[in-house]
Amino acid sequence: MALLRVVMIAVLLAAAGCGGSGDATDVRALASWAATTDMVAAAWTQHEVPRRYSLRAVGRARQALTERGRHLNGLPAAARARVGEALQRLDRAVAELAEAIERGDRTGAVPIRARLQAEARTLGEVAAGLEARS
Amino acid sequence: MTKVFEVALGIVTSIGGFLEAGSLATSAQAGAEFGFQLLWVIALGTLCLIFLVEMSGRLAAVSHHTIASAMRERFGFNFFVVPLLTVALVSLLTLGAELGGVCMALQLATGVALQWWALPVMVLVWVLLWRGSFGLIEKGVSLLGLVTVAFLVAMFRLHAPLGEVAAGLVPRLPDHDSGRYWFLAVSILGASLTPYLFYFYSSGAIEDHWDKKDLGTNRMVATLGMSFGGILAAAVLVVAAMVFLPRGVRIESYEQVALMLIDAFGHWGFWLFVAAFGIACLGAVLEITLAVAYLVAQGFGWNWGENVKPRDAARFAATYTLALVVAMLPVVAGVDPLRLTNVSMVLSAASLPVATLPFLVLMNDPTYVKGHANGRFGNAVVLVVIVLACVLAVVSLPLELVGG
Repeated sequence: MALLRVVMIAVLLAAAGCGGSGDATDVRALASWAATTDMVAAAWTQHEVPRRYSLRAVGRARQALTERGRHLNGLPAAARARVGEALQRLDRAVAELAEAIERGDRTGAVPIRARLQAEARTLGEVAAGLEARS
Repeated sequence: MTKVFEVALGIVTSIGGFLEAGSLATSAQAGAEFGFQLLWVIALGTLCLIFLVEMSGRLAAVSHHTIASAMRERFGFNFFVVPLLTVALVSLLTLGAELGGVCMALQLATGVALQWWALPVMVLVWVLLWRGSFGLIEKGVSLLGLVTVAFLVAMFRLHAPLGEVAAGLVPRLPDHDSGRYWFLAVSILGASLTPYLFYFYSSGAIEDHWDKKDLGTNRMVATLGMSFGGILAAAVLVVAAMVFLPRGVRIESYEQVALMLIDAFGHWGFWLFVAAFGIACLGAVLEITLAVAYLVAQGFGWNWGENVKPRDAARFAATYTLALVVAMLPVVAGVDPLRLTNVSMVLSAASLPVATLPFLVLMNDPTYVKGHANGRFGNAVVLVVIVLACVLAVVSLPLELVGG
């Protein structure tokens, strides 16, 4: 039973230690979806995944970005502004990727990848900053 | 020679049947977020599973009782109703997650929304159960499940750093996101030790007419089959760590997991994943459906058996039919299969003491196991892991839900 008490205390302390990182988690999730979209784009342009899957995956990413984007009110003002701008650019890039996949335009999808990677980096940096603060 | 073939087949089917939506999803999530850090949890869960599966087979071979029937006889129905309800409810939830997994595999392959696949998959499973034998269910689907070995091959094709992988087997505290770390640890334990597994195994031993002569086979199959199966789950974690972690991808959806074999196999990677995932989940759906029907039928003293014609075990057949219908509902309602998987794995871990402690009592009761009672080491390993999993589940589930 002593072992159990130690484990319980360790878990509760650890959980307490991660309090306040919820905002960073949301931003990290946004960066993750940006990176996912880039992975899908890479696989699709190299004929490694089918078109229907790619469309669904990109649609799922857009849905996740919209849902997660609604929970950013708790961010500090500067971070919120930076994430908001990145999200707008990301949304445009993802929409263009979806159109390219719809058209079967693999060449047109290639340059979109650089934009997706840039937004994933920006969001990752914001998340890292928030994690460092908490 | 026949014995050697029997043991080999048992081991191979255990390996092929090891991975399912729960172990695949939790291992992939753990690898993507924490690299190799959570490998030790897979090792711990697999060790405990070896003991539990071996015990289930030993109980059946020596006493000719399944866990459920022995529990009911030993403790009385009023007591048994608690594990019966607990295991049945958690198994139904897990069944929903696995059914969702099969439908998701079909969605990945065709682009048709997974809700549309729920009914056809349910009918396919029902027909297999209605017309098939226990051997077909146990061996047929598990042999197909060997496609999951692709994860192990992928691990080597990606040149996994074996030293770092080995270091992941040493338990350690997380360096970030502690709440999430423990939630995933519990999910992995829940996926490794889902209670339906050992209830199913003991019923299977009775279906296969095991007796004391099969104790050696049981030990070999439990030890080698589960160990190799655990290695497959570890391979999923390692591949996810190598593919997703450097890109900063955290797993929130099966659409993301579907990309994990592309680095290793290119075009074939996607289809290998779809096949491995679909077959693994289909195998789990068949096993869990049967496990629920076994549990209920044995608990109420009805005729049961997959090798018995449905008309001779009508209530048993009605139970698996009903279980499939109930499990289909969350898929049709559009519940995200990955979320359902995560929640059901943690609830599996939380239910372990109720499902397992009476079983441990049986395994130490000479009335049932005669001279084949558990050793102290086996009792200690199972007891510690199960109580640990339950405590972590009770603590981490609310934290995860609050933390989103």
